[in-house]
Amino acid sequence: MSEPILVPIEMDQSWRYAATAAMARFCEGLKECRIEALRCEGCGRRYLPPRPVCGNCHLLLRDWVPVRDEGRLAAWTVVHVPILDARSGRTREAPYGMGLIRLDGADTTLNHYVAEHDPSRLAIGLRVRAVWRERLEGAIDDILHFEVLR
Amino acid sequence: MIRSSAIRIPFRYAAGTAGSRFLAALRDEQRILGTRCTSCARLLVPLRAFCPACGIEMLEEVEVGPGGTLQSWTLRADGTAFALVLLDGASTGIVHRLLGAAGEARCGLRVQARFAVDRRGGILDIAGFEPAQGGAA
Repeated sequence: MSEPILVPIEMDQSWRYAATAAMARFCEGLKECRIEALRCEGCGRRYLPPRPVCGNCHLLLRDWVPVRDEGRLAAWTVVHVPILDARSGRTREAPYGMGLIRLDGADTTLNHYVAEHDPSRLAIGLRVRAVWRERLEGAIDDILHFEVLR
Repeated sequence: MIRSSAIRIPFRYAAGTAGSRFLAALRDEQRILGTRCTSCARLLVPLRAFCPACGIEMLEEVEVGPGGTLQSWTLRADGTAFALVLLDGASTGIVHRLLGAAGEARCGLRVQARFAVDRRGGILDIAGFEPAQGGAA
């Protein structure tokens, strides 16, 4: 009987993501630090990230509205067991904060990193602001994370 | 708009009781082990905990190779080849790298396992199979 063997393996998984027309416009806007949501002409709900059809009314969405890069935390968590970042393929140094962020001008939330991992300093409703990366590429990680405004 | 990238997924494969014994023998003894089914008498490589045909637990551990015969091969886009090798004594072939000129590959070619210098308990503890000195069977 030999010792149980665990064979370490690294697998490379390549992917291609085809953006919808709405997401393509959203990403183009990010290159200029511009965030836009799609507003439903039926119920008035402003979707961010944008989606082509309203989930409530099933209307096609085409009314673009500006959104600020500041908002409020709608939910938060502190991650201790990091997962792979699908964009970079790397894990983030734990612990780190994550939040659902409702940006001013949007009715839905964005899932993103929060630059705070002390639970005693996190709360629903906290004001947060996007921290942009220096070289914008038109991707969601053009926003590095959200910082808490105090 | 199409975005493309890749992520690297690290994981650890738990080799299990029989697989661990097989890999430890590669790593520590440079021996290739199989299991003789006491019911159907086939010699299965790599070492297994049970016979998939008979469903019985197999206890007879047998060394095979390191020589063998090329049963089949396939060329890869990069010019290297994969080999299906029937190790001497074995009833089943194993897939591995074919070392050396892929152009020499033909069914029945005598090959020989070459062990890696740095062995860590994985199937790549065998670096691959190379044409044996002396040529065809």
